[in-house]
Amino acid sequence: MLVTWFWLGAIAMAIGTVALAYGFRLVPRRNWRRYSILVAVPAIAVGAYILLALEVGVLDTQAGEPLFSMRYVDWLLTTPLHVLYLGLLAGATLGAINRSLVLMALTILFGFAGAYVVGPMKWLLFAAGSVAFVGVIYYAYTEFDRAVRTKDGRTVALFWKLRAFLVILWLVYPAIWIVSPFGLGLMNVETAALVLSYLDVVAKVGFGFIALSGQLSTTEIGTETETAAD
Amino acid sequence: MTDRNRSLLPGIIERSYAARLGMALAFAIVVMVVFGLVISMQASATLEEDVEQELTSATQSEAAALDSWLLQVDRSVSATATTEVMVNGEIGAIQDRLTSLAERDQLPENVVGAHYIDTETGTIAASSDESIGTNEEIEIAGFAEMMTETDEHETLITEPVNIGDSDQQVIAAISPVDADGEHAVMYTADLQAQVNQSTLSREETETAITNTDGEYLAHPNQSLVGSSSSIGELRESYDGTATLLDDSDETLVTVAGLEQMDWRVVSTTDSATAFALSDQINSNLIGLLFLAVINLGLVGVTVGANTITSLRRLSGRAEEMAAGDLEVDLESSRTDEIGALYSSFDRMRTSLREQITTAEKAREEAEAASQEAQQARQEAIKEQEATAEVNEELQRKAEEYRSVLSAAARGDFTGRVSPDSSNQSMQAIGEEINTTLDALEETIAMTKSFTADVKQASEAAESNARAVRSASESVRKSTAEIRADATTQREQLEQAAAQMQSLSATAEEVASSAEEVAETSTQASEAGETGRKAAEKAIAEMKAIESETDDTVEEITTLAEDLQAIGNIVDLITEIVDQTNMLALNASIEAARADASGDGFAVVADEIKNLAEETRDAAADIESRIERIQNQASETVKTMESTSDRVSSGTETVEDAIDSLEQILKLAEEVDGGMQEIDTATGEQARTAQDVMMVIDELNDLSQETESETERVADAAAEQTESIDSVADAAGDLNDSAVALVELLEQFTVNGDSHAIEKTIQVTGGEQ
Repeated sequence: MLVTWFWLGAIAMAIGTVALAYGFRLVPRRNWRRYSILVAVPAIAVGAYILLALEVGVLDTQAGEPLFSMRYVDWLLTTPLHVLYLGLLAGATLGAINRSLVLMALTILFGFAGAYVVGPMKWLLFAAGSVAFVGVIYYAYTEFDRAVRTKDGRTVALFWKLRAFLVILWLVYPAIWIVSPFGLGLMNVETAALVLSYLDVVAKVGFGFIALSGQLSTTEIGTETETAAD
Repeated sequence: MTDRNRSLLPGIIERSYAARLGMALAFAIVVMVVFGLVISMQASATLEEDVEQELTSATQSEAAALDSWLLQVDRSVSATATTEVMVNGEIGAIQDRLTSLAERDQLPENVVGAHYIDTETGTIAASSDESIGTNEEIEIAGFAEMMTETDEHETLITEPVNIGDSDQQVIAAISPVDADGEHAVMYTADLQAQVNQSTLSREETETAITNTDGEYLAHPNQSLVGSSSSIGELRESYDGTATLLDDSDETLVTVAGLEQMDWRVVSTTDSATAFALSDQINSNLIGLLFLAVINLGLVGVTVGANTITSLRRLSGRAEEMAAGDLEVDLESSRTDEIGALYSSFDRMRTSLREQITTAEKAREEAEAASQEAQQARQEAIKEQEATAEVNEELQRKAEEYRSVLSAAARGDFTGRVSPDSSNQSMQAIGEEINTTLDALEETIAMTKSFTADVKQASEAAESNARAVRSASESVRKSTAEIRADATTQREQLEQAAAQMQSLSATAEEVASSAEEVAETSTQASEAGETGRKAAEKAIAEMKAIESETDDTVEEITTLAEDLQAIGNIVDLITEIVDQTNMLALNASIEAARADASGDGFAVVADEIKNLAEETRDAAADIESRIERIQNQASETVKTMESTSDRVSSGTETVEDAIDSLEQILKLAEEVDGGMQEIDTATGEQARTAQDVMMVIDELNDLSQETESETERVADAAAEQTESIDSVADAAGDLNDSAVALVELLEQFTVNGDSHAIEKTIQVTGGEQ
């Protein structure tokens, strides 16, 4: 079953990637760089899920539970990309973006480490990861927010929506972590795999689609306002 | 909820849609988590209870199975011990028998060997197990004690022991052979194998047998057999029924007692595996919760965030609109209620624009009005100033007017106000003052000149009065003379009046006589007129008779002619009668010739002859009568002609009478006219006399009046003389008054005064 979930996840990610890749045709060429982030995220996930399904990189934790390291590799790459997209959309300073990217990476790394070790150290690392994640949220709500307020209303709306989307969905990850075999063990590996796969697909593809639709409307408006400003 | 004041929600949630949505979703999640937990706990409890019950009953059934197995072994060994072969005690046969039992599988399950043993020596005399062989001494630990303990006829089952050299621990079931009591049949059974065979013996469960001391008699782990169980409570807490003794986190231990032996079946299960299903269910439940949470989060973020951003954007736009910017973008791609809200706002904005336009117009109007008011106020101030100026000017004017008027009051009418003023009333007053002063001045001037005139006149009057006095004196004298003349005239007039009286009486008498004559002549004239008319009438009658007579003569002549014609006709008739008579004669001749057939014819001819004779007679009669009539007619004509002649002469006579009568009439009329003239003349004479008399009377009266009048004139002249004196005096007084007035008027100064007065004075002075 475990592998089934991973394959399903890979298929869903692949479909999402293709659908989002089609978005290149809709997005104006000057936005392609930023838009490519949205496509890269599920594309990376496709690879990660195929590897997961092939049971590559399955480690045994100190508690003897299987630890799917590919998942963390995926997250280590994709979550900072999401934060980057958010930062670029908001037009935040490079410093703020870089700091939030580092914090995001740290969150994943601490989570991975916490999953691996046992005893109080696990929870210490979990707390460290949580702090790092709070840092990311902090940047999203302060520096990014300040930056985006100078933008037009639709960009602000899109930013708010994506930020709420990420924060709410990403808050589910640590909750799953807590009940997963790495944490309290209330949820078994299979169920956790199912839930995480679903959550991943929703978070990655959903984010992409919301951003795409938002970007389409902002481009329209942006073009209009630019011409109007000129 | 709708009532803000009574809301149960905290303010922060009340104020934010996101918080509300988050609250609702969080509530949903909490409810799901709580119910998930409850379901999980219930399921776990049920599952665990099931597992425990299953374990308990499994252990119990395991114990029962062991019991029945042991009973089977017991019975089997007893049966074998009582067989004839055993009782006979012949080793060979027993050996065969045991072997065949084993070979033919007539031993109960897991009985590994059947042995014939010598109870006294404790050796195996015969055995199904070839390896053990016969007479081999076997060591059975505590065998002797076991043997002593057991009843001679009952089967003894031992705890696991090692038989011989075998490592395998088996339990031994020993049943004595009845015959001598020195031998017994012993089955050896593999307890462990039997236990392992049990239904309970699954992968996850260890089934072990202990004795009451807790020593393991059988255990999957061979090495533990003989050792004491680690489960300490076994001895104390076991109450004789199958019980779950231990449900620690790791293991579940169940114990059940055996009936055949004083042993216990102890099954130990790993709780993780035992509760795996429960855990799986819980795990799935949690997974489900997470999926629900994720989906709710998605709904919250997509729907909620869309709604919130739309609403915030709209609220922002509304704020901008509230701040006055009506040009905000109110486009929305949404077509749901939010989109409707946007379009509603759009419509509201349109309506706002209209209202603002109206309001601005109103404000502009208000501003214009206030400007007007300001202007009006300034104008009012200006006007006030102007009024002040006007007031000053009025005051000035009033002062000026006052000085001029007081000068006038002092008698100086030469002063004039300058009426030019911005105030029309003041100007009018000024003009009026000037006019008044002019009028006054003129009046004074006029008064002055009038006074001078009066003075002059009074002086003249005085002198005239004196002249009149002398005149009236002479009048008085003249009147006395007139009086005397008047008296004489009256007397003469009275005489004339008397003479005229008699003349008048005579004229009246003549008049009455003339009247009588006139009357008589009038009667004559009337009678003549009547005669003339009668004569004329007679002439007319006569002429009528004459013409009638002529007519009659004519008619008679005509009649004579007619008679002549009739005579001719009668002649003709007579001729015809003669001829007829001739015819009749001829006819009678013919008739006579005709003879008999002519008789009728002769009759007719006779008749005709008769008729013709009668007709000749009648015609002769007519002829004679006509002659008579002709004679009478010529006589009548002659009479007529003589009558006519007489009438003609009568007419001539009457015409002569008429001429006479007319002559008379003419004369009478002439008389009448003369009489009328006489009458008129006498009437006129009488009237004239009357008139003369009246004139004389009047003259008389007049002369009387003249007389008295003359007297009165004389009196009046006397009175006049006196009056004239008083008039002269009054004129003198008037002159004095006029002089005084002139002096008084000297006080008033008027333009052109001096020369007017001077003139007056000069005039006055000149006369004097």
